[in-house]
Amino acid sequence: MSVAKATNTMLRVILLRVGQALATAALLASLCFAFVHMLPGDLALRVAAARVGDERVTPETADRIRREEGLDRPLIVQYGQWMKSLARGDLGRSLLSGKPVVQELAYHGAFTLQLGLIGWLLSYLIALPLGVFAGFRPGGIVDRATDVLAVTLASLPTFLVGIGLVTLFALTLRWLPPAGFRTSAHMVLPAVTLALSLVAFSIPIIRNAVLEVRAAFFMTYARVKGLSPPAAFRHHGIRNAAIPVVTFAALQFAFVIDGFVVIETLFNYPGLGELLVKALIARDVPVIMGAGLVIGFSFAIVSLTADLLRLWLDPRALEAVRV
Amino acid sequence: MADPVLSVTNLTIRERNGHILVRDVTLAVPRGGVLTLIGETGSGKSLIAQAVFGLLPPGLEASGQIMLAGRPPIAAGDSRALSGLWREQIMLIPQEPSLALDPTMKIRRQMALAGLDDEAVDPALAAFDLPVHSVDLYPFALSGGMAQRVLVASALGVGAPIIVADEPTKGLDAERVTQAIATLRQLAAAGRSLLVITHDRHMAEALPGTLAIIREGVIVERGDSARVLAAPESDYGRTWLEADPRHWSRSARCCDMSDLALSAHGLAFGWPGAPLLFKGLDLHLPRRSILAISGASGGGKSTLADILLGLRRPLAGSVEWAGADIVADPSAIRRFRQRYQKLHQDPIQSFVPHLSLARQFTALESVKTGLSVARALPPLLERLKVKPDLMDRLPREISGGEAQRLALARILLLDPTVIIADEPTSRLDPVVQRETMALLRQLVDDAGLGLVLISHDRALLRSVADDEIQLDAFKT
Repeated sequence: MSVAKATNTMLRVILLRVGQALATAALLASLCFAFVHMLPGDLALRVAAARVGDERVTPETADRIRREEGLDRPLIVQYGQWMKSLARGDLGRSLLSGKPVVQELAYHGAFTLQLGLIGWLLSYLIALPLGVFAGFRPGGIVDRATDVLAVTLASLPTFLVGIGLVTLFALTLRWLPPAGFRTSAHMVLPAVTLALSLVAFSIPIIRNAVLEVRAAFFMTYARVKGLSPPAAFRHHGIRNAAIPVVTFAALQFAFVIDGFVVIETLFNYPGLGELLVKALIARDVPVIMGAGLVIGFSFAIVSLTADLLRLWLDPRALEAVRV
Repeated sequence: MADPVLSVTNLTIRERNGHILVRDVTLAVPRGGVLTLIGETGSGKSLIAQAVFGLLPPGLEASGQIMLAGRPPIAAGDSRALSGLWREQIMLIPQEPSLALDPTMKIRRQMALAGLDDEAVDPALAAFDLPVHSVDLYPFALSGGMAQRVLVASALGVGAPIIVADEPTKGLDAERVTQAIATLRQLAAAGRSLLVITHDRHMAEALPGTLAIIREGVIVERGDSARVLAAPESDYGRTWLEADPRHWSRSARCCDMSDLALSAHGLAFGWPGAPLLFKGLDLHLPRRSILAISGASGGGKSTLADILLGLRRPLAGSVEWAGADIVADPSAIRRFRQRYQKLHQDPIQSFVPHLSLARQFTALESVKTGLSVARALPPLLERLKVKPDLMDRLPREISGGEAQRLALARILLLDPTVIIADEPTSRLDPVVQRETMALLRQLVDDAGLGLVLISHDRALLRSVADDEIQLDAFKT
């Protein structure tokens, strides 16, 4: 297939998928709207309680908020209003802080993205050398040790790993701050916790990909043709082994931005997870819906990136899309 | 033999459980000469080639000696020492071209990595009648025959004095077989020494030198090639030679065109940027009949099979399954899928690599309601002459011929209306080929099947088919 045709195919895939991503995100936000309103209790009262405190809230404050924020209108009208604003690119204002939702999401989202990226990159810094090595010496010491490590980490809940790290490095050794976000030292423990929870699954994937490619006949044949084992792996092994690994790594990154709540809560880290938990307690509908949008959209974009990488790595996949 | 350049002495190959696959084989390839090894599917002839390269599959052990002229002998099990001979001393033309090429790399780079620079590539392609643009394709876009020629062309760029060709004509049409033979003769004339493993009688006849016939891991006859082929002394040698399709009687039947299992009208297909492979193609397949499709390697035979099976859309035309047009109404594909089945060119690839065959067969029960594999399979295996104990193995642990018969068994369990068989016997030796064809014919007659038989072997097609379509006639 010509380069122009391949690019054309890529563009078509991208346009189609970005459209799907937007639709998915809007659907997710709508579900958030429905679920928040299905929760028992008076929404305006919860918002009032969050604004002035549980002790000082009165029915009058709740009624005032209900009128001011238009929470007394029929739900369908409120939903329609939100969709109309969304079409203009306006996500509304937080019921709690009064700040624009976009601003809240951008502030907290940047924290999450930073932590996620660092943790994710760190996890592959650990997993790639270990996984590749284990794939080259199956049954060897590194293979068995990483296997035990992976199984252990996979079976431990993330918060236990986090608590363990905090106890050791923050409370006992006092090398690192236990929680918060003021300095870069604050990033270390949450990023390591995140990385370890990812490594548990990526090491076996990398190991098996390497093992499988090494057993492929084209690798053996490359050596019969005269390539040394390292050259054969460099030319034929890496790209083929990368196909499953890249897809998996991208999906893990999606899991990072999706599954941050535990780690952010544990380390009192001001990311999207923390914002979402606060917004849920306060029934801050615009923020919840905005977060739903962002999470849905970023998940779709990450999986699109995974697909594009795969198309780039594997010509057969491109062929399958085209036909 | 006065001056063997490669000798194999007392080679025995056994499974870990002690089961012997190749027994005490001694062979010598004369300097600048040819040794041809023929034998039936599963006879162990390819294992001998693998043992020479130290590439036996895991679980197999070799004993005996392998010796190159002027070098100390190497123990047959010493893979490391044998791998030291690769490229410089011995070169392999492997039997599964699709597996020997990196699926993610264009042909040009793969040839470059084999040592053929850009100037060497074009003459190499021309010598094997490969289109110039084929080096800019990925392996999946090559037909089996083209991939095979790419490998032969690259192997020749390597200077090794000894070349082992493992089934070099597998998947090639008659014209290309002639070419491949000429190439191998050319190699021999240029002083390279050849060990050729084949089940192709034309190749065996055309190569000079010595011929050895192997059966069930034992060499049953050997001698000057022309002498053995003219007057084989062993019973098996005689059976093998009589099984040539040219000696079969012509099939002649007429069919009821009103009861069509499959038909197609006005089909056209071509790859982007290349001329159409065919256009305006019509075909009719009545029940209880065999329709042959022949054509040159790379001419679109397998692509046509995919279109007839609803696996690929044609650029134009219609395909009717029992009267429903699957091009216009793809939902019909799902309704009739089980009844329209393909017997693949490369049977091993049609099985899941890491599951035992038994489990893969049992899995069919979830596809077809009311099917009991435990009840239906044993009589089928007996009919297809497959040993039941093969079922416990992995797909890569059985021979190509066994895999093809199991693939056929798997399709028959689904009670098909139409089977499209893509070169179903190109990997089988003549004896098994004839049995398989007789079996297919019988199945077609007994079960009222329609069979589309795709092959480059026109002698074979003429002897079994009721009707024939030559794809080359629909080229644009």
